[in-house]
Amino acid sequence: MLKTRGLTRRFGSMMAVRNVDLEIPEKSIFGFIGPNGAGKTTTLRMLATLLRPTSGEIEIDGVDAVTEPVQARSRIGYLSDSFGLYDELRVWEYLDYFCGAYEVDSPTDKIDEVLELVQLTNKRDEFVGKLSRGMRQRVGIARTLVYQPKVILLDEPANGLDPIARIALRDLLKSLRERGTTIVVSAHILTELSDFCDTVGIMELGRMVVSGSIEKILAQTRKHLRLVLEVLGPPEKASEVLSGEAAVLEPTLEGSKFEMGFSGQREDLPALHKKLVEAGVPVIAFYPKTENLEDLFMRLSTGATN
Amino acid sequence: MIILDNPEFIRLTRSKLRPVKMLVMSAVGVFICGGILTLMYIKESDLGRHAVANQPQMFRDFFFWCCGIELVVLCLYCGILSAQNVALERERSTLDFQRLVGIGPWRLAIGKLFGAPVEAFWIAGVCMLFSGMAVMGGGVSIFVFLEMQMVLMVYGVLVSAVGLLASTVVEKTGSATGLMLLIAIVSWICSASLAKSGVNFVSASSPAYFMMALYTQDHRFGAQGMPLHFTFFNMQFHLLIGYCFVNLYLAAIAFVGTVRRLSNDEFSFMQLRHAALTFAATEFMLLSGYFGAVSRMDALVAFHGVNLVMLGAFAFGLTPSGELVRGRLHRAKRNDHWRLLFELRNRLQDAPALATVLLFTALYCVLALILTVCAGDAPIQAYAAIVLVAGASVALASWLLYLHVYMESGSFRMALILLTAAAVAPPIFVSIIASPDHVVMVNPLFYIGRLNELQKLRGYNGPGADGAIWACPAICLALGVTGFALAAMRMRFLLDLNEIERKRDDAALTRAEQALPAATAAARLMAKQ
Repeated sequence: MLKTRGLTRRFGSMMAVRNVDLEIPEKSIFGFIGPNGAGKTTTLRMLATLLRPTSGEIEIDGVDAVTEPVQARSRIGYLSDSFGLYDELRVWEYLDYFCGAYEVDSPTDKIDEVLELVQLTNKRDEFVGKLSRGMRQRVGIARTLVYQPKVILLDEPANGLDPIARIALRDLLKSLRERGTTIVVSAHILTELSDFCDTVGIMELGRMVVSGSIEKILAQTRKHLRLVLEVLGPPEKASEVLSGEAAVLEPTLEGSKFEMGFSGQREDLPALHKKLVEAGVPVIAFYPKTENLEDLFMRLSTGATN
Repeated sequence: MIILDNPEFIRLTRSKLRPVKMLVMSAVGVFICGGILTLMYIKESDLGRHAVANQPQMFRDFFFWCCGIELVVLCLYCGILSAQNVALERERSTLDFQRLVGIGPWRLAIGKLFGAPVEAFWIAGVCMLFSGMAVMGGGVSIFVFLEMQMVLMVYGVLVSAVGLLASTVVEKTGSATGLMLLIAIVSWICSASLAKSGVNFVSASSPAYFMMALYTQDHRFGAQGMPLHFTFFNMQFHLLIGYCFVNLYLAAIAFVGTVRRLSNDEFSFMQLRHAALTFAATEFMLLSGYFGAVSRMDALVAFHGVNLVMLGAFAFGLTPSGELVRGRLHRAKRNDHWRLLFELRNRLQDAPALATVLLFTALYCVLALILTVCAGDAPIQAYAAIVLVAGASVALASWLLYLHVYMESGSFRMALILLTAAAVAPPIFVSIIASPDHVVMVNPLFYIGRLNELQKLRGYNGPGADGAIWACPAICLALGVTGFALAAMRMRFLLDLNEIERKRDDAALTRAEQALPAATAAARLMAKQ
């Protein structure tokens, strides 16, 4: 559905985005992760045809978005991080504008349907300027739903939303995916992304450091298992056992909790556990650490920005 | 229908014409026009002591008062509202999704053209209703009424188009307002001065001229009345035809620029095909002045003057943003600089200005040479003017390109500042150290404006007097050549630099891959940084 090849953008001598290659399949959610200044917004703006790439190609639903931006735009819905609304219009008037712009059949029904989806039916006749931040965010998303674009690009959509509104947004994105929309979303609240993203891409210094499904990236970037061992009382004994194990790598101790790499297989863990118990180590907890998106990001990112 | 169905027009009308606001604006129109009529009645009836002696005459004067108010409303209020539109969208971050809406930039711009100044149109409409009273009162005929309203409507469209174009250039609504006021003042001064230069079309394009011409079609003015026709290739046409043609032509140029900038503000204002159409239509109009003018030299003055402004505008209008120009350099290979200077089109960047301006400058030179030879015993300065216009247009385009490839940001603004400084500072300096007459030696517009009098300057005693005819053309030519050479050298330098960077990156990549053969994909990518 969305492909880029060698996507590059310079601002003066600064390289904001360098040779980004992406391939996002249909009906999936792709999460963009990266520190501020990594090039996420620039990439999204190029995908939205709002910014010309310095070099490279973008293909959206088979349309070359660089040479035919106007054709590509009818397939895109874009919500920037600092989007504005027309405060002087009523909610239904605002959505009616987009219905007219995209020649939607029976706009009144569509507006009602979309308002129900974003739970703003009771605010239909309210002026947009009088809505709260969360409601405005939902109106912003509602406008991208009236014409059902094939690709929705969301730049930090959860910014400034309270926890309830965030959950509502997450559910909304999931329901959009089920309706066949491809979604590209950037965020730096990583736990939220891991909940609903099929694939993620980590950007830093304008480069795509790594991209793919979270599991695939974890498998690709992790050479060893990470283990957690928690013991009761003094840790010396446990430390002695662990240092004698060749498969245990770089154990670190924090309080009574060890964290270490393990070069063996998952099947070798019961044997290690047995050895610890037989050596009289009072084990409280012993488990392989499951890495989440945040851990992955922190491991791969140096935190550098452009 | 194309307007009433337009979603952008509907949106703007909905947000700007709420019932209360409409009532307030109508009240303002009623207060002004009604006030004028009341004052006129009081004056003519001597505070109501006797009946108005010449009621039709009073209504005729009232009609032109109302039209004058409409003109001011359209010129200032309509211009300011249009100029604020895109800047306001930018200020409140709504421009991005406007660019993405499915109607496309053309329909979006049409909606803005009529929707942005809808309040001004509403007030003008109220004034129009009042001016209709003059028809009922016998002051003017229905034809004069319709003619005048058409003139004002077309003028409103032109002002709105220019305002929108100005709005796409600036960031803030305050700057947009200032720019529009500046444009209004300069255009009124320029049209007044050009109207004297033998170009019938220019006089035909001014609403004030048209209004004056209509007003003087009265028995009180007799033979002194201004003509309501203009000559075109020695044929006479009604002024309204020329007026509509010129104003809608200018509105179309501004509109195309607006559409391009609404589509993407890194684009140039026009493409090669737009410039070709503009060039052809302008030369056609200038030729009509040349063949219809009493004096061929007057016509040549207008020809060179308009071409100087047009080719200068092409230099700015055809240049995309500095980012796109530098992006083109990023994609080019070593020693590509000559190809870049002369290419007319490429995939990611539209119309590079220099090649296009060179093309139109060459066409201008050929045309100007033919016209000068056909003019008979044209003096030497008529030929020098060709060198001047050609040199100035190449200088503008090449210096702008040089600034684009030299500066990291703000090159367009810097070019405008330098151009203003170059147009203003030398004339002031020369008029202080020599005399105001010597300004022709340093300013192309003054030079062309006084083309007929340059021969006299040769008789002056004083430094540089003998070179009066060739000084300004030589300066323009030198600036053109140096600008061109500097742009080429800078491009070559940057292309060499790109090549070095590229080689360095490749070497770093090879080293990284050799050093970390077993590392993960992510680690390799990190190492590249």
